[in-house]
Amino acid sequence: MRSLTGHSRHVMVAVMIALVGILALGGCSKKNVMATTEGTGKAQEGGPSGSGGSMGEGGSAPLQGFSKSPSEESVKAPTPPVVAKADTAEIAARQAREAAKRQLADIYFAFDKWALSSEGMKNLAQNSEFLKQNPKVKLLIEGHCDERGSREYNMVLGEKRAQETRRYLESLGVKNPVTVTSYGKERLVCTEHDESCYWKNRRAHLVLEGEK
Amino acid sequence: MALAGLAVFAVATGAVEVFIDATRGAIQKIPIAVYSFKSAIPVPGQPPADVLKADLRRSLLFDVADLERLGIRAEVNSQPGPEALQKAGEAGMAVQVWGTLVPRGSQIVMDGTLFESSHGEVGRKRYVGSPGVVRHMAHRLADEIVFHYTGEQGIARSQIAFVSERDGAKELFVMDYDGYNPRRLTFDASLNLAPAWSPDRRRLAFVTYRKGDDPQIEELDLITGARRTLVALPGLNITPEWSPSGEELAFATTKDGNSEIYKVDKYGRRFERLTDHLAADLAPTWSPTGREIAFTSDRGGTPQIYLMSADGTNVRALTYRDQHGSYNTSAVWSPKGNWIAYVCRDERRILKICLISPDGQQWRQLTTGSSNDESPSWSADGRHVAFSSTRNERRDIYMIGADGTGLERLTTSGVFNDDPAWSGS
Repeated sequence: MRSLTGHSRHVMVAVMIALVGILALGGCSKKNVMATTEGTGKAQEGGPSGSGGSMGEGGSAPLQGFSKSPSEESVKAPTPPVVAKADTAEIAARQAREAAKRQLADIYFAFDKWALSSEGMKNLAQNSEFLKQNPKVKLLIEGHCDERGSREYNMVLGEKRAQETRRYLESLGVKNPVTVTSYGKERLVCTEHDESCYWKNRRAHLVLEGEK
Repeated sequence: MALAGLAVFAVATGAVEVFIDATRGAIQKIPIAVYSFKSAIPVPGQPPADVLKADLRRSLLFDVADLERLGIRAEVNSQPGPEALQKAGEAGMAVQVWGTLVPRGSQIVMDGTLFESSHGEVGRKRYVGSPGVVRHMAHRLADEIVFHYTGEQGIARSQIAFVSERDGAKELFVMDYDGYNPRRLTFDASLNLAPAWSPDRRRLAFVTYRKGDDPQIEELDLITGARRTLVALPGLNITPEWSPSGEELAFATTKDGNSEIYKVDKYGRRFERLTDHLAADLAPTWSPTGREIAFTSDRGGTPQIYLMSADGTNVRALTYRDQHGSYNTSAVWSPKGNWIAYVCRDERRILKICLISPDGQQWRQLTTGSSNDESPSWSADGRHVAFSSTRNERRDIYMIGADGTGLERLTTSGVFNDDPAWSGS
């Protein structure tokens, strides 16, 4: 055991550190507090059963340390047993609304940019005539981005593209009710990883709703 | 003395928080021997000793021995004999672990023993549960061993929430930290994005488009299944992040005409605006003390990482275009405080994960290659980063050590897995 001298010293230090840790936890002697429902195997998915069941602190009971005579700890799967209840009426209404939407031609943008191109302005000028003739039609402008920006920043880049589009339409005298949103890169229309797709994804998507 | 280096000291000096993380550098790992767990009945899935060994390796604190190479039989009958213990000790194994599995009705009882070659038995653990949770018993034993030697909770019982595409929709899922046991949480047939754990692991905040055109921030209670809207301001409401106390949620909203960072109390009632700039400010992340917030802003022309006090004062740049490149976003502050991970974009316009210290003095690119890597999230021990990557064609979730070693793929099903959020311990 000669070769162990160095390690023994480590272990002694370690025990001291562990003691500090245990003291810091202070009186943590709860037993068998963990009670989640049982988990599934790898790659299986739970169904929308909405099964109930109680569960400790997000599924993880406090550690209790080693003991020469350990008390028995009940172990349950830490995965949440819950499923967020879906609102089926809400889903149906959303799908019906999607189906009723009409679309104008997309307006495209340069990489990383939100300023309109001259071609984009030309296309918007054409769209503006229809909108002015149908002033009650509601317009939704969705901004989209290609996949080369980060998920988070693309949200605001898409929003800037949509706002820029709205401002230009208003400067042309469009007075239709306009809503603006962004999908960042969450709804790509084209998924190849090259410019053949990138340009199609960098777009303002104009959606019409309501009566003509 | 090497083990004393595991302690992490936090020193506050003025506006910048300085953390000295002595875990970095040449830490001496504890050599550990793990014997096979003798089982009286067949147990489905990976052998618990293998689960335990993988956990101990991932802790980055232990050097897990290959017993066969040392000429020691890993297969033991309930416990290693005195000769094996002696031999392993002489081979430098400071710590040795073994266990048994015994049926009790429909349950399994797992016993685990922690042994030090120089001191003998340290102590034991006894777990009882269904055969389906033997993995979790092994995870729990691993965390007890980590806790014993460091006073830290360990990450083997932690969970990773993520987004996965199903039928064109993006839904929330959660899995064990090693990729096992994935479970679907939402069935909204919409876009659910950017999950964020509350520090007590009880709730997930996330962004949803299910109410209409404007994304809102919603909260899911993982115990009751109750969901409620936290932020539904007009415009986009995105990038939620709980404060370390769990009392507040920082997020970005475009309600003022461009994206600004706000915080709101945990009831979703009291709002406070933190940024005020014509440029876009978004993606806040809290320092572990809750006193500082890092965020993304394009106020300098391209997106870069900035820091501010948690009340919105004292804004200053952390990354610079000429030093760190033209595109740096989506910062996440390590729970240990010493690093901020973020998405950087290289000259090929490919997204990678980079690390920078909060004082800007240290910088390093964490992931390499030609894949797009993004959405970094720290493990509670600050030693790993989960992220999503296209490195195997599909987008999947991976983890990597903060030192760039130990890359592991965590998701293998579906075609699109993204936005990992790693829970606390």
